Amino acid sequence: MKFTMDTLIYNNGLRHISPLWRSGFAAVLLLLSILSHPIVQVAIFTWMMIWTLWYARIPWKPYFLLLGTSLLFFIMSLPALLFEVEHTLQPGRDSLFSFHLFQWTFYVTQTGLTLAYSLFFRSLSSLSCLFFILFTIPFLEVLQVMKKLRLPQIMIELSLVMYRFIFLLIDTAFGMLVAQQARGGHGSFSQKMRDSALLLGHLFAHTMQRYKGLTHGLISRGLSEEILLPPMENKGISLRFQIESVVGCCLLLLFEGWVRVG
Amino acid sequence: MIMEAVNVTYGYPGTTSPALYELSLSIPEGKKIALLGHNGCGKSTFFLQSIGIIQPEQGKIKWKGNPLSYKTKELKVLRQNVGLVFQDPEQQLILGTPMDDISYGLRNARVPEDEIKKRTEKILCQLGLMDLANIPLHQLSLGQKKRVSLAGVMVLEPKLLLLDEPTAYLDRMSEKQLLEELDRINHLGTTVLMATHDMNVAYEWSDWVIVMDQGKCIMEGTPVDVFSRGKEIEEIGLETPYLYQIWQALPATLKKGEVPPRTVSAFKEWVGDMQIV
Repeated sequence: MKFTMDTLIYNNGLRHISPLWRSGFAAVLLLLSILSHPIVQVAIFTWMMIWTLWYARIPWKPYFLLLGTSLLFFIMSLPALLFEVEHTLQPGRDSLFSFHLFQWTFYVTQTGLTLAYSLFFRSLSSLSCLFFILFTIPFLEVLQVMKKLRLPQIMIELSLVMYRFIFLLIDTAFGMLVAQQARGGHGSFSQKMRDSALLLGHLFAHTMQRYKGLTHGLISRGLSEEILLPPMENKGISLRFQIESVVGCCLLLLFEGWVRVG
Repeated sequence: MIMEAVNVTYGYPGTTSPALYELSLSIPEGKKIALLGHNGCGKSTFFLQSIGIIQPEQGKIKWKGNPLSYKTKELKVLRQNVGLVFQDPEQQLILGTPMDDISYGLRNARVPEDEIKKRTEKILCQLGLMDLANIPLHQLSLGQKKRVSLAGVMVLEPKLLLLDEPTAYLDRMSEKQLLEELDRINHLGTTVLMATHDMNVAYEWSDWVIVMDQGKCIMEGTPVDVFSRGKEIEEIGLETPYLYQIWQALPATLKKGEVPPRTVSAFKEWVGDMQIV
């Protein structure tokens, strides 16, 4: 998944546009989607989807797969949002629907339903803004934006090293898993647990070794105090995208104002 | 001599036997050198010593006749002069794409940005990596990664290039390309030292051979000189090159005291000449 995603990101249709502008654009819309009403949030979601799927030419399959996976977290929190539990249902509760289980009464309130409903649209529109960044800005450019925003160097370096290691880790873990399976491991459940524990232990030792190697490698290449990133390339923004973004944001603001007044 | 080790002893913390034990060797300037030895004979430790990442417990490492001082400033200059290519390319690749990664060392050396761009593109062209310039590193094959890590070191134009098992796990085609590239760098004046346990590659490619065993240097000389001491080579568990073994098996009347051929093509030529006679 991660591997194919990286290929998509490096070949997306918006790469020629300044990453700083794209991050700013997504940030503005994210702010708007947090503060606005559900109907405006739907508009933001649709608009961001057009940018990501159409302008950036990201295939819909990985996009919706990721969206679905992220919404799973929302679904997991649904029972807690919707249901309230009481020993005996007090009269005067705004229960829409209730049922008994043992001596407990479970019921759904209007407030809970409204909360779940507004949270759903808020997460949907916020996710679409996040995905716009995720799918159109390669990681190194994200780091360059972080640097431009004067985030602490340690944060940038940690992200860089984590990004570099995640693939090595997946690679190593997968290699070890296959090796264990090839030698008859992961048979029964208890064996699976034992082999997984073994794998994790080795993985840790292996990672420490790799970490040491990378440190030597970087020192030999002249690392002094900080990891220097290539400077951000000067990329423009086409007039067409500038107009669309400004007009679109204004329309969304007007729409939100109209919803609030009306 | 561009670099020397004088009686260097070093042991890793927590180990009982030293990785290097009174190691003395010298690297002649301008040559193509093969450093031979088993896994664990101290080759990689010597490499880390040579760029000052670890310091000897006893003895000295000398660069152009002067012992290393291990001061930050001087180490920085040393590391610009001595390039080290690790066996595992993952150890030294850090930024997202070959283009960005190759420029990393130049940026550390505070080279101006426009020159960085020029030099990076030049080296990408030279190593035939232009098509891969903007592909994420983790999508490259091992051979490609090895070439990128070599490019990242070569772009700094070091005086001495150290390579740790550069041909390990490479297919014949990639190996050939790599050796040709090393020849080219050597022609431009860089001393190239390659650690390997492929005797055939060492015999064919190098013009100076150093043999290490158990943290010591036990032989130094031209390939023919070193491999003529076949018995000692076999005693430490290494093999003499196939071509040299074949040459040895030929009757002395045929060889007439000639210098043994070092490449298959040279051998074929010699055989061809024989038939005419």
